[in-house]
Amino acid sequence: MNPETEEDKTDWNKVYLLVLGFLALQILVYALITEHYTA
Amino acid sequence: MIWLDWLVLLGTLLFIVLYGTWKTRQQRDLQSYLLGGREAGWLTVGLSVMATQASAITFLSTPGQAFESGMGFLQFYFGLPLAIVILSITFIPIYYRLKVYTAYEYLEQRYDLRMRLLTAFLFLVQRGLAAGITIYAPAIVLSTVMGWDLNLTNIVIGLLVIVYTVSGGSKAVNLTQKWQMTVIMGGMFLAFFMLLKYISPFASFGEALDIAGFYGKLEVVNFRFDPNERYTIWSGLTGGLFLAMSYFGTDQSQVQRYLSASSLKQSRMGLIFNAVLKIPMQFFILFTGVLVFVFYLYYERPVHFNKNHEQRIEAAGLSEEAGEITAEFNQLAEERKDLLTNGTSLKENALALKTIEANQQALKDKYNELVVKADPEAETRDSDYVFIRFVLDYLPHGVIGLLLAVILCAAMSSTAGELNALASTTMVDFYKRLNPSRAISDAREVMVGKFFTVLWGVAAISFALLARLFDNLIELVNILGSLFYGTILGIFLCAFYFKAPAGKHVFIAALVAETLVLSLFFTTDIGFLWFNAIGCFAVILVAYAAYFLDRSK
Repeated sequence: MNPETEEDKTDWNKVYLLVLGFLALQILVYALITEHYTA
Repeated sequence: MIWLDWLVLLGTLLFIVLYGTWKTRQQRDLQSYLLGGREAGWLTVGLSVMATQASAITFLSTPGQAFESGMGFLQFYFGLPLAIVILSITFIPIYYRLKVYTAYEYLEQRYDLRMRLLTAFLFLVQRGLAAGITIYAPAIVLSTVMGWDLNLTNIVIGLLVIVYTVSGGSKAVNLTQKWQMTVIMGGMFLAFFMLLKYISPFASFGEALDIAGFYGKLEVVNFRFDPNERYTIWSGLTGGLFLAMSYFGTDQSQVQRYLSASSLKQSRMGLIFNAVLKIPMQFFILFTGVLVFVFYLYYERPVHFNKNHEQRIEAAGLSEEAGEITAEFNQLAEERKDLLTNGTSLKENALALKTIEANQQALKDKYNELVVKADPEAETRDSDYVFIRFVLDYLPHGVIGLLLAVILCAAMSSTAGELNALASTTMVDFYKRLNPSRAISDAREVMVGKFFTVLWGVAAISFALLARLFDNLIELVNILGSLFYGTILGIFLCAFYFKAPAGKHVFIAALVAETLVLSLFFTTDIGFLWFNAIGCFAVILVAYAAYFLDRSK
């Protein structure tokens, strides 16, 4: 495949938002774990 | 270790080495040798990026770290997804458009040759030393616990990597890393499930979590703002972001992995794969360490996880005192086990459990004093030995061989990525660039590339062999990374985003920033992650200051 010609119809903005959303969700879950298990 | 473990260990390692060498034996030109012909798919790239980053010490030290201090280390990775998003938007499309082999080529196009050579040189020094440590760090632990000869372990790990990296270049690195990651994750999952099985007669999964929480092992996120604390959400999101941007965006050992993708889209997807999976993977490894901690509340645990110290103590005639400490330590462990299994709640026993913990820690400190008395040079920190000692003492034969294969695969996969990158940078940024008029055939170029790979392989092994002569070398090299990464990232950020300062301004700024970072390192207690951000901002600010100063003349 040629990097110049491969068609890329990916909506990258959406992908990036999903990645950042997943990060935020993980931090929330880890914060809840910390809150729940730390006396 | 019995024959079954050796069979699994050697079978796994030899299969990967021979398969990688055989499948990639013919490399016709430099592009196919250094970038695997640019035909890798996103999964190959994603696993290769992951395998290059995860060294053996990740699997030896990380569970030990969670065992000792809990899961806070996870925050170190919070900046990574942010960094990958930024790189996917800006750095990677430019690398693709300019069709570069190395990240440093771009700096010449943007500034001048001096800038390219300075950054490539910084990379070679730092990564060359790091490659030696990538081999040495697991070799020292394995030779200690297995009784293997340290020098021989260093040489065997190094030679195995050289065989396929030299023969098949980047493609062999990608291919073997895929298998190595499969072995690594398979082995770690197996260890995880064995731990759950061993704990289950004493505590359910939920109870195990409660116990881990009671002992402070589940404090994942720390919101306190204290620059002297090494791992907080703030240092992870900022320092971790800069470190990850520098590592993934400007370190050739990573840039080369994703430039071997068949297209920009595949490169980005390979990196996004890491942005999504890296934190859960580290969580899993740390959580395995927490389970090892819970496991040792119910099973016999050594006072010190480095078995060699017992021999040191015996040789110094201190066995009697050590025996008394061990007996007292075991007695306390029994009392604790009774409290945890007699049906009463953690809350009711909180005070007694905390007292036992404090007393055990005091006994361990006493034992460490004996170790130092027996050998003043001895390292008393034992967290690197926790996981491997658990594997060797409690896992069944066959699984032990597999877990040792995990550690050696991890060592080999990151060393291979490093050697491949060191050879590329030497070849492309120095040899080819400084001899532009020399016309040589494709076959000869590949030969020269192979020669540089061997050279760096031998250098890495030699450095690993010399490493035992220096104290705290591993820590030093890790910190060295953070001392240089900020400056390198600052140079690249200026190149990508700040158009006004010219090469000479950025060059001066890089020297000033490096001096600042080094002075702060030697005179303050700032956590090393912060140096990534400080170095980076210093380059940008000083470059602008130099630019305005120059303009006002």
